Amino acid sequence: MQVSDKLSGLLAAAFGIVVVLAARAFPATPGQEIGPGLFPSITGALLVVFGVGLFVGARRKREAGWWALDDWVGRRDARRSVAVVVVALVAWIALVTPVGFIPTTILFVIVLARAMGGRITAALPIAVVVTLVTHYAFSTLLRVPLPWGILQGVAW
Amino acid sequence: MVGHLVEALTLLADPALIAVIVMAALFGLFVGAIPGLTATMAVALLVPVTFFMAPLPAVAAMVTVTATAIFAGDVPGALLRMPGTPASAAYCDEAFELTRRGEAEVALGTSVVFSAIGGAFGTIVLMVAAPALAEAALLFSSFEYFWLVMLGLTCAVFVAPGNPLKGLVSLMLGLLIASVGFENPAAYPRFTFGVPELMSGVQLIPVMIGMFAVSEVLRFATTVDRPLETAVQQKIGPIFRGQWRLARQYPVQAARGGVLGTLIGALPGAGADIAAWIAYGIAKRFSRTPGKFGTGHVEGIVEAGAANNSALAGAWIPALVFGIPGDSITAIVIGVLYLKGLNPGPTIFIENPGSIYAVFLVFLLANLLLLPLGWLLIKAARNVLRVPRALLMPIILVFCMVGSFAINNAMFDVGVMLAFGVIGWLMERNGFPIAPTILGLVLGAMLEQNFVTSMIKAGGNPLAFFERPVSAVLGAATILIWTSPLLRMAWRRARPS
Repeated sequence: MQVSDKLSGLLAAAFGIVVVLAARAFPATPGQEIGPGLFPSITGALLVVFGVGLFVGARRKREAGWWALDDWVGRRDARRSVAVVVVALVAWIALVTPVGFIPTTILFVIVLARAMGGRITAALPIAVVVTLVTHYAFSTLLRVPLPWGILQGVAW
Repeated sequence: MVGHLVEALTLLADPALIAVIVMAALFGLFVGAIPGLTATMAVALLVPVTFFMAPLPAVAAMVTVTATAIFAGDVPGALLRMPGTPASAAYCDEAFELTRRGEAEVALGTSVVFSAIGGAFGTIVLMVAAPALAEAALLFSSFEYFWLVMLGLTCAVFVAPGNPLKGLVSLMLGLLIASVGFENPAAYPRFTFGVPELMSGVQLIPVMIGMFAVSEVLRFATTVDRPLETAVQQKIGPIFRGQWRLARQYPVQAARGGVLGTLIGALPGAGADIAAWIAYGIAKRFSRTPGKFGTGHVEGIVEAGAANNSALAGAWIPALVFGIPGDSITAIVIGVLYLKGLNPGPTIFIENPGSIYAVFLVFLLANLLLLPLGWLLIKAARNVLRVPRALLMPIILVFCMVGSFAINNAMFDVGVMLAFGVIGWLMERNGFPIAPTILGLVLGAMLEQNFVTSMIKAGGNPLAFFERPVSAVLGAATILIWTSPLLRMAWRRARPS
């Protein structure tokens, strides 16, 4: 998505205002002039200044339009593969603990490779090998507790 | 220094370490050669693995990966007209013109030889300059550090191409992310929204992996229906033939590229890509035959190829001496150094001189390894470039997810990675540079710590920030850079046309 400088400037300034308001609510440190709110307040205030600057500069250049969609949004394969990347990542995060690292990751690689135009005959073996090698490297060698999920009973 | 070098050599004479270096070199060559995968991404993907290594092999692996990936980026540039990493973009067309004329071996040979020369040059500057600077830095107080960080962040914004206001917004975003959590001078939990995972702040590594790796996968996804370019089908001759003649013909260009690259690399926020652009521009400006540039003339490749590799070493100077990263790669390295107990700063040269000199030697070794391994990559280039992206991208994502998870064994961090992947992708698309955000995130805590300490010491007197001589110079330089756009505007107004 293409966001105009007018809009991104306004968004930055609005975000800065929210930050300053939130930082002002931080309690003061007893016996100390400088509390936890000072640094974020300065940063937030500067964000407002730079955001407004961006907005004013874009206005002066007579920037047309507020926002526009990229051309890939109009192309079916590209649109689908962007969506699949995001959705598959969210699904992996949600499923990996209950279902387990090995089945979830094999499925993840296959789904993504298919969405990006890979052949299933190549995607399936690669998914299995990559998942098992990663699992061996991180879980067995590096002792990262990757979740076993449904395979808990046969964990090795 | 000689004593430290001997100690470093004994540390280096470890077969396991050499094996790590060779493997890292092959990984760096592969990632660098694939267009769309950058050297920074290679380092970010390496972090979770280095997590479980001893300090020296961990740092050695990162050094080697960067040196080889930056060179490998030249290969698809010459064969496909697609830079493998942004650092090769400056002379990509030039190299491709050479290939089109049937002189691919000249383009690639020049890349590999002058990358190695530039890298070695930058390393020697690093070896000499860093310990000397560290001695001066030992005398620095919070005022000097405050201004140093300010100067670093300022450079990051103003050196980058594009609208500086966007760089500033990007920087503020990084500083705000850095202020999340209770690790601040007042130990008050800020912006945690009651999420326990945010108490210790937003983790740097998942943010990096998101912004540098996941965002690239997303960008690839938008072009998934575009056919892959196929490499020029022609025989590549012996690449080292005629390189000695080139070195004798363009010694000034090679040296100038090395000096320029080291200096630009040492400026925070500006790394190998900007060094290559500026070096290419300067080579053209001072060339005796500027008209030949763009038609397949090696002069620019000599200078810019040397510059982008020397920039890598230059970036380590502020990183090691002050803990201020010179580019986005050293920003990651600093994070790893802290994890390894090798806290960057002037005292590292007193506490760990052996390890530091060993790191310098790894730099030299990696650049020497470039010659044989670079030759190997060029021989295998056609096959490397044919690796199907549809299978490669999911594998990269698996490494990203496992890597983000492994930092704290927290699924929350994988979510952080995804969120910053999308943010980084949108920022890049709309002309907001990512490097200032990363620098702000890395340096935010240091900036606030030194700011608050200095404010308390000053007792509310702002002039105290300029009372010590070094801090006065650093402060004046920072303010001068800030006001330079205004001064330029005033100058133009004052001089009626």
